[in-house]
Amino acid sequence: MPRDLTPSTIENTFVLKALTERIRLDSRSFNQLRDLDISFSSTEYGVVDVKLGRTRVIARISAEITQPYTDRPYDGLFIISTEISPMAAPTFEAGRKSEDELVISRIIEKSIRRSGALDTESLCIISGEKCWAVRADVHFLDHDGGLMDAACIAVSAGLLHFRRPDITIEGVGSRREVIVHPITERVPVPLAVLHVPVCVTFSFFDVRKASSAISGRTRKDEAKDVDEDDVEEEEEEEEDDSSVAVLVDATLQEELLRHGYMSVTANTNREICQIQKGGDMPVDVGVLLSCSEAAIMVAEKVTKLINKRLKEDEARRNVGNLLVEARAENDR
Amino acid sequence: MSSEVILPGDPIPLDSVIGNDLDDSDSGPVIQLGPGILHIPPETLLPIRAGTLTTLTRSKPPKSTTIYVDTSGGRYVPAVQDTILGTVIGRFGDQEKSFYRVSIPGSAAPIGILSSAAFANAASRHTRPNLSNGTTVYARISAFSIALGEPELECFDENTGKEGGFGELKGGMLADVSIGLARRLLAPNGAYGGPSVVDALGKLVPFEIAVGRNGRIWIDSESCKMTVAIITAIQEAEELPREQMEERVQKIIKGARKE
Repeated sequence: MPRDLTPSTIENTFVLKALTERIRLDSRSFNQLRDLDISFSSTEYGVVDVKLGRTRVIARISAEITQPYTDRPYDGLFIISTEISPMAAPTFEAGRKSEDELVISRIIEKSIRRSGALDTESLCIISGEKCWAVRADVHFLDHDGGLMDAACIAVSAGLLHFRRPDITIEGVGSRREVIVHPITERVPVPLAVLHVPVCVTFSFFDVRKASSAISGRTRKDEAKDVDEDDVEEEEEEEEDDSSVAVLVDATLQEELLRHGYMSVTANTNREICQIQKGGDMPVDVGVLLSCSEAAIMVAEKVTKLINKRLKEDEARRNVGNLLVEARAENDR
Repeated sequence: MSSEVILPGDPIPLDSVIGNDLDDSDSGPVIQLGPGILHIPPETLLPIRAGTLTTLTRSKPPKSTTIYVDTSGGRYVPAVQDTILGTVIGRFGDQEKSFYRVSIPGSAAPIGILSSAAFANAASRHTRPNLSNGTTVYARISAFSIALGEPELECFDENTGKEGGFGELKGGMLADVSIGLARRLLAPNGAYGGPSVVDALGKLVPFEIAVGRNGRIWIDSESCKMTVAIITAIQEAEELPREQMEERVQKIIKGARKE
């Protein structure tokens, strides 16, 4: 019988108090990402292992040939499956989607599929008859906050890394035949990835609530503390000129305690792919703009890392430059 | 007390484990098997978990040696007499007899039952504590069985009937550690050879600590910054050898003092 994790009053009070002193529990600065590690499978194409701090996500991209939808004969299929198993955290139940899980799959769907990261028209083989169905399976292995960020990075990197088998079409008219060449026979073909979306989640803490959270308990000795805290905070506010603490890449503990969040997906073309805001906290225009700017910066950094890792993987696979020589698009 | 890394299926070096201490007894060496070791009769012992093979020798008669495989992972399984850190999430019962529902994070049985009479000085209904939801309690598991389902908790020292550090915790901060580390922190001094991270920290800075076997610790100290530093030190120390651990702890605490 798994339950939602309930943060205690102690954690709530402490985190808010620490944030007014501009301290995070893992000693990061407010806009600092956790250590990000991306690694690719050495045997298969399109299998990515992403570690964001203690959060760990594996994405696997696969492709098969199917019939396109009748109303979209020129488009291939692209499906992202994000089912969270109890392996990630005991709060997730197998086979039953929690609200959090729905939000996560929705954001990933919006970030990658609906932003057109993968050109589905390029997946068409014979219009109305045959197309590629690309499938991204996301497995959440460990949950320490930032599941959607890690999943988005994993799928983006997976799409870049994936290679589908080369195909040729023979014959004319209704007697056309599709020949699939196994990857042992011909160099497989990369997918047409148009841009690399990277999702960044910002967590908002209303540090003014720090005092109200304490005064929520009606004890005399604590009431005295509140007065002192209030005085301190007012001084803080004058310095910072804001009562909102904005944290990048929250841990699970921070996620449970935050008052609001915003997920921004951006790419290196400085495009915002999607914005999703949750929680019951209103956010200023200024904060929204600065978050978008910060998201673009993170996207640039993460994309750089993905490309670096891809290059390393390529170098490891491509011994003696044979893959380049044998590419399908070369002249024969 | 000795320990070495062992993998499932490895042979257990029984001779070195038992040593010569027990040979002088009349009945021959007595070995008790702890978790992670499978006994295939008549005399095959097989480790079935990866971890450190740990032996505890009882020097007082009857002499015996306990061997088990110590791992730091896994989910906490409640056991009677374990101390845990939980959060009050509800209350039920009438005024005469009411119970708190306590969530035990990281536990295989996630909810414990704490009677409002299971506190020190709780004989009268007027002296019983009134805990609101979200309160953190340090409690002892007084009864648990798989059939019972929910562990029963108590918040007083069993021997003295007094508070003894149990009950509501105020201030400070909670943090997660592995259940292996929680076990090590609670072990008697020197059981794992040499001083622990708590000893190293205690030399540098005054602080309060409560360790729950369910892999949670509670820390309170002079400031937010210091509490964060102490938590970081304890979490990081788990994966460091002893010499490096003390150095690292000193560095973290000094870093927190500087600013």
